[in-house]
Amino acid sequence: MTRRQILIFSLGLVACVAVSWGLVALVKEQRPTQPARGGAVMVTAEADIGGPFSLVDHTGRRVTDADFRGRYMLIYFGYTFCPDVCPSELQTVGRAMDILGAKGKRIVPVFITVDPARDTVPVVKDYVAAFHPRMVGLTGSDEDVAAASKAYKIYARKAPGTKEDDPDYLVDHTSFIYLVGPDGKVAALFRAGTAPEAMATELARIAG
Amino acid sequence: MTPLTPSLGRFAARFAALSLALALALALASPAAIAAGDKPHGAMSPAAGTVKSGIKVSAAWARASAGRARNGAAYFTVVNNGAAADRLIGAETGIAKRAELHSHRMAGGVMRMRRVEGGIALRPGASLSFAPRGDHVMLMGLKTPLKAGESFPLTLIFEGAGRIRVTIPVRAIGAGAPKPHHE
Repeated sequence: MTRRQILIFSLGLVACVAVSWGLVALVKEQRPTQPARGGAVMVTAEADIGGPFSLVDHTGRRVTDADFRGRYMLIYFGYTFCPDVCPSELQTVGRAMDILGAKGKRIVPVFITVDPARDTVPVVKDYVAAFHPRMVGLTGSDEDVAAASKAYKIYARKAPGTKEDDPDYLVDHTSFIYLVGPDGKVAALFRAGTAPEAMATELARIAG
Repeated sequence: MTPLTPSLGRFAARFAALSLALALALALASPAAIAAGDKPHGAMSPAAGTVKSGIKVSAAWARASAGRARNGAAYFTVVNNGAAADRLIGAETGIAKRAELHSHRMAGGVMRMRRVEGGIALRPGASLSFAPRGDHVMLMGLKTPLKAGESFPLTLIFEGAGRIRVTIPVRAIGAGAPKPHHE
């Protein structure tokens, strides 16, 4: 191998690394110019999600999944300090319920907190009332909430880089809306960003 | 090491030249500049919005707080009608402990919200929508809940245009974003 060939080869290698770096930087910098869109409705026949839970509702009463048998639950996991996504999704749930009207009488909209430390019973009570008069808010001990989250395969963790003493911290969390059937099994899954009209149509089809 | 054959040497030379050209092209078109290179969309109402140094902020709103929620978000559209590139680098308001530029990343159904470091680039002609589930100004530690029908001041800080004060009307939960102007 001549010196020239080694030089050319090295240059090629350096350029290759530079190109890769450029592409990585490009991908990292690519920002969505429009809000993240979910839209589509996924219906799962026999999904391996959902299960038993025992929590405290927004009136302070202990409730379990069994209390909802015979009715549908439309569940969203979130937290009240969530500034953007949770109110957006819960607003969608509230509007879908409004669109359904009497057709939705078998459906109970449910908010389950992933942040029981801050989302106490009175906080949850005020929160759910803002989205729908029939919305049930659920909280509980760390263990109770962890068990419910685990059943629904919810990922929830304090955002990295949060200061230990920050009272307004954010939580990264799974953002789906689950329709649980009268048998306690998940009947449908809505992605974040689903339009209220599309959700109402699908809910009427399944649970109307 | 086995010596390179002449053809392999030629390939290496061509590869090097091509790669260098590519690297140079990428370096010139910096990632930030490309990131802001969205096409301006929709005719904007000349009446609505606040304009300074070619930067126009319009269609601003915030959702009313649910219950005693302590964090909130402000949404708006920024258009750069100026000849120079600019960058939104921060926000300030008296109604919360702090206001930060935030962005969402959805991966595998998990929503991760992050502070945008280094600001958001605005090429000449660029139009950026700050909207629910996307970019927004996060209001952390609201001093009082946001009430529908009220409004509050928010100062957006641009690298070039400087400080632009915007009035953010608070809309009821369920009202959603104001309708865009079409003229």
